[in-house]
Amino acid sequence: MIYLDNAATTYPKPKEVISALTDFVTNCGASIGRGGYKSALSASEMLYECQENIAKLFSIPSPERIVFTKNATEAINAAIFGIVNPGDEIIISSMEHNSVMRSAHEAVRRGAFLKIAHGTPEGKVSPESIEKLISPKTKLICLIHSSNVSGSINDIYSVSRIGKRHGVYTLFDLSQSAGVIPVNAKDFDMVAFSGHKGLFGTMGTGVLYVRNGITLRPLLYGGTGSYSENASMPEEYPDLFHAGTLNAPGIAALNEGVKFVLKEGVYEKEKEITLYLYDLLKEIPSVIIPGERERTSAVSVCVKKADCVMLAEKLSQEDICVRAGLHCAPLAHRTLGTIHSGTVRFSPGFFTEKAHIESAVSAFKKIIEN
Amino acid sequence: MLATVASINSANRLKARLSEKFSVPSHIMQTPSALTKEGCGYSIKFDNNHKNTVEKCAKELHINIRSFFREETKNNNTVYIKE
Repeated sequence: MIYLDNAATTYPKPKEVISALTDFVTNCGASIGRGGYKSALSASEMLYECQENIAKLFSIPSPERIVFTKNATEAINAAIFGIVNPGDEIIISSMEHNSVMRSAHEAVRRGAFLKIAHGTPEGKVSPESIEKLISPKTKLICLIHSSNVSGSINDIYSVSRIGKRHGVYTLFDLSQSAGVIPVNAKDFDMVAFSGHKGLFGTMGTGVLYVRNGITLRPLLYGGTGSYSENASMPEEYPDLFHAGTLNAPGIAALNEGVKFVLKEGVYEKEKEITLYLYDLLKEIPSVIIPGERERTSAVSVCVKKADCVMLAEKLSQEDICVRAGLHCAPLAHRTLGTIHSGTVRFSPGFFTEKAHIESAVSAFKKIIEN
Repeated sequence: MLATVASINSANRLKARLSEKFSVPSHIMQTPSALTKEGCGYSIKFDNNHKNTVEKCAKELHINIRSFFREETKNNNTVYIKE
């Protein structure tokens, strides 16, 4: 099998991640923050260590403000519904995944207003196009760092500065960039990302970071293992967002995944393999690749007069795993001009070898020619 | 001595910083029921003579120590006296 769907979830995982997962389930098994016995305390210490490692990777100044969710979508929901009130305005971009787009539309249904900053046909959203939309009612700007369709990278640092200048909060979706390109979140308001993509954790893990000084309402209410006699949720982070039993095995795996990224410095290898793939695909005459060459690992392609789903199906018959369609990002496909055709997305990862790329591209070429 | 804190996360942060920066050993335990009116909670336990260091460390981390309790043994029972 040649796995080229790392933008959906990375595979395979580093052996350290698998060991951490099985070790937790086999030898610890306790619930985080639920008891004073050794294994329960050790599970809680592991969560703390994971916060510290994530903080190190993203230069986050307050590790305790890193909360664990079940995925990036839940983290994004927590941020949007935690801060936006009826009458507030949200700005999103036309490159957003449905995790942001649908949440923003739900916020509108609840009385907020929505503005959309349009990206270029290359899939980039200029900070100026966002700034132009800001009004006195604007409460939040949500921007995807890197597109899950085109891999285009947005300038979140400029957008963060724009937000600060206008007194508007910013939320950056790092789902495709976390662990894939270096991100310095030191001055950011909020970031959300998956644990199971570039950070090599397992599915069922996501992260939200909220900087000190921002007050959010929790998304879920319930037991936290603290202040049990109080009817209200504790105000302290991360407990405010940790209602219910946490995915401790997943957090243990994520912790090792983050350590792997810190240790291996995966960025250069992922970039090299992505550009190798891009260049080989670009040589095929009937292939169109939306977006610039510089990107994260999503390389989406259209083939003239071909059905993208059928192309992916034929690749699947060759045991090559790619994802076709709209990738839960219809706005992005509209921006890139691929809404009617969809695309076939190839997304390599840290463990993808050049030989895998060569075999996949060669198979793709044959499928197109036939 | 016990210092009661708001959450297990605060307890872990405090314990780690005490060890790394101040070389003060401590361990985490659930706060005895008699010492809290708000249900489940966590404390860190340390030697009595490190109280000032623990206070200083908590301040650095912006961790609110809810109370300090000195541990004594009376008639073979452990009792906690609020400082």
